[in-house]
Amino acid sequence: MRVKVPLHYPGLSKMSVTIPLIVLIEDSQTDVFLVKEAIAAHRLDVELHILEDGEQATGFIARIESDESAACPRLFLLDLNLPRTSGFEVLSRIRQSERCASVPVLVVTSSDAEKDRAKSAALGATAYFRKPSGYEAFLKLGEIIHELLA
Amino acid sequence: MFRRSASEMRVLILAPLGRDARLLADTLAALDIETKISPDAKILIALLAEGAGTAIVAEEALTADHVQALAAWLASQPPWSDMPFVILTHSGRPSAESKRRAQELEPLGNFTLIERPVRPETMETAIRAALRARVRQYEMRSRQEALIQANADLEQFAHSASHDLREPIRSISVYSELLKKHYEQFLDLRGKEFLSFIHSGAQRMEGLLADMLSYAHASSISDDAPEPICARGPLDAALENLSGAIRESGASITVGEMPMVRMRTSHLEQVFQNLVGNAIKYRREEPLHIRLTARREDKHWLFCVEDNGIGIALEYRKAIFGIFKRLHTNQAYSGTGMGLAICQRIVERYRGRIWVESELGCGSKFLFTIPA
Repeated sequence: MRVKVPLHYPGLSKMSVTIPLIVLIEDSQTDVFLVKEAIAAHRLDVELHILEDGEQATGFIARIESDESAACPRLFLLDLNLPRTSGFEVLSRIRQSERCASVPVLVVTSSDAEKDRAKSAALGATAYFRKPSGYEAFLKLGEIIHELLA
Repeated sequence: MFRRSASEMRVLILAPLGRDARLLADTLAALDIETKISPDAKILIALLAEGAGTAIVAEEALTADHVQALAAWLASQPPWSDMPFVILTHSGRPSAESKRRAQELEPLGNFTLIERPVRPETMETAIRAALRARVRQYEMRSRQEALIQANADLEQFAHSASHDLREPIRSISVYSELLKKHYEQFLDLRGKEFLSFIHSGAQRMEGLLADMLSYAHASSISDDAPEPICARGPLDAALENLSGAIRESGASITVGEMPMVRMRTSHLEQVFQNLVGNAIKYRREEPLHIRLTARREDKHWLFCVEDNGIGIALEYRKAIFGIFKRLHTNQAYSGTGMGLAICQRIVERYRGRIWVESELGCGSKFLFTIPA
């Protein structure tokens, strides 16, 4: 995935040569491992930053906003069922943020409830991935991440 | 038990002529019955909307327009409410005229005519009867509210269950798979068997959770009938979902003409899918035939899913619709025991009925009705 372009190449910003940053907001250790597996299985060259709950996520967004030089992620992977601050609150916060408003957000959740899908879409989620119960099926997540980064 | 505002037991009085209203109010006050006098029919409707136990109305205060306006308000009452009226009529009228007048008041629905001059005890018994009826209506409201709340709670519970319980189960499922993938070589036969028990247990639990959620969703189907749809659409979708099982079983399926029904597509699809799925699952050795038909019967459509499978013994015909109810071991026929319970829940929410006609070893006929 890494784009090998000389730094001085005209018309390209510094961003395009850095490894894409993906922020994963997920409190479950078991799922963090599976997300890593999915990324590895598709040989995606990305930097994965893990935030374990909603507060860490909102704190992260606040930092990006206050610090212009801080790198903006290319993709958020967001679990809905987080302790205290819910995934939906984090999603709204991302969409309200000036720098992250247009960053794709992939909701990654156990829920298959129509309500949750509809609410995610209404709040501006880019895509929705229901965590499957099979290992191979979970690895499909890598494919979706690949598409969202393209 | 539930909120009942102070205004809900008061007696509204509309009797604009002379001292009628005042006298009535005094009579009722002496009986410890709260009253509120309304100067005209328009205000009466406003007061009714705020809440009342009953209303006493002198018939001269009701023009045909007023009756219509009142009827419009009555039509907007919630289902539990049927506001009782006591109408004071003129005295000594020929019975033909009284009959005509009663017909004019027909739109009021729940009313009693009392001829003037009214004896106090006649008034008291009439008002007490009306208030008593009204109290019954409030009790009905409480029960309906409790029911709505209970359904909402069940839905919420099932949602949390599917969400929160599913997470750990999914982990067990995936990680038992990973364990098998990476470490199976280090396990002996017994270890491998244990691992497969863990995996199939987790998968079964997931199926149960999914069905529990469907059941809860079916419980919260709203009372308003949706726009009519052709039953063929959800039927085809159900058959498509089952296409793998249909192919594997070699079932031949015939479908009759399907009507338009007022149901949500997803609900009818689920009913068909569960019934056809059962027909496939509980088949015999011989070639399986499934027949889906529908015909008009009186005020509803009667749907029928008929098979030549193993059939159901008489004593289980009711039990099979119970939740988590199963007649077979998981080894013989796998399942959660929720399929028919979900069907029943859906059909009943649409004011239909579902039952089975069957003989052990001679196939089953699952029938359900949906109002036409």
